[in-house]
Amino acid sequence: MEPVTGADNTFLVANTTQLVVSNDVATGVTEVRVRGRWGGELRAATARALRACFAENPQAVIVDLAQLSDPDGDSAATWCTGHRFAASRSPGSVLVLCDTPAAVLHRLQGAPSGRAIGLAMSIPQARARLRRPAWAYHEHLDLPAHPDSARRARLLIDDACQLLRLPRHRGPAQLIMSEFVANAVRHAGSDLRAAVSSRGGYLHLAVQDQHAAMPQLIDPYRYPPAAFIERGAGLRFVQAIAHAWGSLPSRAGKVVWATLAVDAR
Amino acid sequence: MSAADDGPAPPAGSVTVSAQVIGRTLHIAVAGDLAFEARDVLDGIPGRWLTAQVRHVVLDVAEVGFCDATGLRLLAHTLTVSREHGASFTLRNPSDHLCWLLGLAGATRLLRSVTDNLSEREQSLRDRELLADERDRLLDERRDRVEAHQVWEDLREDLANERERKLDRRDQES
Repeated sequence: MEPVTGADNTFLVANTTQLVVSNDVATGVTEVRVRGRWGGELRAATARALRACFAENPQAVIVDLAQLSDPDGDSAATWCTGHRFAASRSPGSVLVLCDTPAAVLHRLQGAPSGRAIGLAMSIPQARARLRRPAWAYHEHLDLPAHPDSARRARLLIDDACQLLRLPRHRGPAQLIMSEFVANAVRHAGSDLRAAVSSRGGYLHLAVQDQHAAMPQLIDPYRYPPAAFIERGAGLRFVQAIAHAWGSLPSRAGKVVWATLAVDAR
Repeated sequence: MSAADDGPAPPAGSVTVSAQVIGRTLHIAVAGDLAFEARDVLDGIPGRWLTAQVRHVVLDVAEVGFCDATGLRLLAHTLTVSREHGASFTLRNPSDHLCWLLGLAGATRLLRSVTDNLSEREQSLRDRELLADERDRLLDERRDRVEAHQVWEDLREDLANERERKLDRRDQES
């Protein structure tokens, strides 16, 4: 499957043979492995995936280039664009390249934004260099695949909104979390982790389950209103409320996330 | 935090449902969170209480604190089943959160039932006022008639007394 950016605020990413993405909801780090020969198709897919990864306001996106074949260093332009996108759209997030091919390194040195990109020998080294995220708040809850998990996840949001003094965002945040957990229990049927963190001007909500299939957004124009309430209303609510939302693969399954803009209190 | 630390999960659903049929109206009151975890508790609403005599279904959600897509499905289902049964449906006391959610879902037809209900109540109040006015008018008329009757009775008694006096005088003269 291709990485997908659907509506303006929807970012769904699935793994492909050339592009493997893994998000860690606890650390806020997303790893991207790029494989194969660099070309137009891989460039487009990588650009979309980077955009989707940074939309989530992560601490860092670490890109492993060990298996990338790019003898001319053409991918450097994509990494520079990714770095600029992160700086403008997701302040505080960093892009780190690992095991960068020599030709790509050479091209990066020639561009101002290229020189600002973090470099590491390997993913473990890149992770070791990262500081603990300076998020104002982070809490998570491990939950079973039980309907009552939705209520318990809402309590997590309740606590967060109380501590962060976001009473206006309590309802929308609880709705998003409730829908994510309901989907995980209903479709994944696995244990899950519900997480909430304050990332810059955004409240970040995430649910990690052990099922790789991406959530499906139902097209409301294909169904009459009554049927729409019956099918897919939950994610439509998320799309309507969230600043951005999406899904990223994780090591054991996937992470479905959403951000709520909370700056204008 | 982990699920294991918190012990076994409590019974599903932090919601309670009560129902009562008064006359031809089925009153259902829901309290708690109309949400995914309560889907089993909410199953069968309103069908299990719909009898042949029920012509109105009133769903009171004053005590509902939170609602998600599952809860919204219940509201839509209650509306559909009520109408199929030939009964009217009224959603009573929706919270701001619920109104917001209904607006978000484009399901304002459920809110319209509230509005319709308000209109009906206003109409009913107006009718009651008109009836009270009519009753006052009838009472006034009755009072007037009683007073007129009393005047007539007094007059008749005066005439009878006058006649008695005349008869007495005639008797004395003869």
